[in-house]
Amino acid sequence: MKKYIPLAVFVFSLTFLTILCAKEWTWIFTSSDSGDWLASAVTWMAPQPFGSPLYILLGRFVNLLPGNLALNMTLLLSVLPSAITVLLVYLIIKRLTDKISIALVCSLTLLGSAVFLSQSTVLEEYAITIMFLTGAYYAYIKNWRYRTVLLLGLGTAVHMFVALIAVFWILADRRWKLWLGKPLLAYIMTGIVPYCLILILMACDTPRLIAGGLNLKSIMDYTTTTAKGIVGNLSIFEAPARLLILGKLTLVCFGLALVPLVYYIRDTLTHKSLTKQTAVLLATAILCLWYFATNMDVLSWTWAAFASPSIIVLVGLGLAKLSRWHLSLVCCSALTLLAINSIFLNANTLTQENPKAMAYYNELNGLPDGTVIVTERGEYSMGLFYVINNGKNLIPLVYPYLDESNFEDYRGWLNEKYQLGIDTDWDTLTLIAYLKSEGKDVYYAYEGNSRFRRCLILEEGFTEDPIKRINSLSGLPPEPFIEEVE
Amino acid sequence: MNKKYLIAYGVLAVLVALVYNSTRNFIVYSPLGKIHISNVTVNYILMYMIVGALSPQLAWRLFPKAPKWVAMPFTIGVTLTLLMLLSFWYPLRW
Repeated sequence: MKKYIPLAVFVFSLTFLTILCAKEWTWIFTSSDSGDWLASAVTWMAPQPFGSPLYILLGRFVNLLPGNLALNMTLLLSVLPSAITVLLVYLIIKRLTDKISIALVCSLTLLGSAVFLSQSTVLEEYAITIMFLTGAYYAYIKNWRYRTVLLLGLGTAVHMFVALIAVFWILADRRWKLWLGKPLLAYIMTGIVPYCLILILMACDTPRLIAGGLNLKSIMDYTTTTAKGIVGNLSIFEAPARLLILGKLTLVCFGLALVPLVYYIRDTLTHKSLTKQTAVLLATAILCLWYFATNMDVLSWTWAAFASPSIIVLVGLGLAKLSRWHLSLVCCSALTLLAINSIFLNANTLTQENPKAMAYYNELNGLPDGTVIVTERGEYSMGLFYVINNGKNLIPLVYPYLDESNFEDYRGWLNEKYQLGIDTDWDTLTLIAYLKSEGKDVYYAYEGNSRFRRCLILEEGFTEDPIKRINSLSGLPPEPFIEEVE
Repeated sequence: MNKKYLIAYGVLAVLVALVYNSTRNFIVYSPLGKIHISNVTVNYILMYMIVGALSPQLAWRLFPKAPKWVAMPFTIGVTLTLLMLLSFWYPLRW
């Protein structure tokens, strides 16, 4: 084993440098969650459900380091874990096939995979989750039971989806008794107990944006608001188009490596030689792809990154059964995709083409202190909280939190923090009118096609923009408000 | 390597080249926080292609001794059932 260590170090270094070179040191909305993680890293507040406690703890730790927070978080929590993931995939395939050439080619294929590469260079929680998941599989094939559950637990503490993957692993493994008792306890301690942090944040004096105070209703609202609306809710009419996107993503991610993948799955099923190790990989890949295929939110394509290492290991197992010609062709495909994706899908290119986050950040910082910003929930609201938490004095009005009974605590928090004097029955529009009458500057910050603007047009009958607009979102000139009415 | 694999690799290479640009644009500009509603006509055609391709296989598995024409009413039945179920489950988009 020791003689392969230099090669493993080479794989790690190559990956790290490749991703490092592709990184523009800024935060971008290619991942719409960046604002959540930055806001949670600079102040204690519950981010989007289900909270990702380990990730926000790591974010707060990174915030203690000198330098730019966005840069540090991306480097330490996305780039570095991705490099480790590629290294782990190399070690897994080396162990399963005992062939260095296959392990190297598969590592390159993963590195050049479009979804994996894109998620390795943005400020997002996926890279580190995938690292824990891949580490868990490495421990699994080495029969390190406690390390497997420990790593699955850490993955769950970063992203709740790993809990579902863990259930599928156990179903695929079929050795129920092996995982019950102490391993289950270890998993709960490392994966589930950290979520108490979110309850603590709800109990403490933190901004009441996404999560309210600590009570059963708030907890239910917080945990179900996002998931119940999108998971498995795709209309059948949308499904074929989604499958088409999934097919295209798969092609761009794996290229010619799909041939050994299909060969291996077909061969395994034909000869009924499905091992537990393969079943676990298949279960992981199918679960992640199912999630994207049936999720109403098209942005869930990023979740395909969870499936990438599993698919690559299956490719490696397929290559081990095929001749060297296949290996050469897959190697050429991997190098080509790596080169193309590094040029056309790296964060430099993405930031230049789609400079939303920095435009938003700069404009918010350019506004006078005390300005009221109306935005909508999601990346813009959390980006706004990031700017506020960095010291800018802005008042965040996030639509439609004031208009929904689920977010009573947000109204109370606004009143208390900014002394606004909001009545309990005021909605967002009434509050805006009141703040304008009080002489406050009110800016609207979101993209053109939004719920708030539709509400203004359809329900309130506005024919002109009642508030000023942040102009440079998306780097485009503002659309005339009247056009939407037409 | 036999001819079958060469064709498979060739077809894959062409497909990757064909879809690369549109997929890259999808990754870069995927709509944030919005539901992506695609072309309904195309989806109709694709849905009927999928149902049409799978239903005869399913009919053959369920009724192995039935004559071939049974696949036709079976496919129509599957489609109508899907439509009925989905109209209750989720608002149809058109």
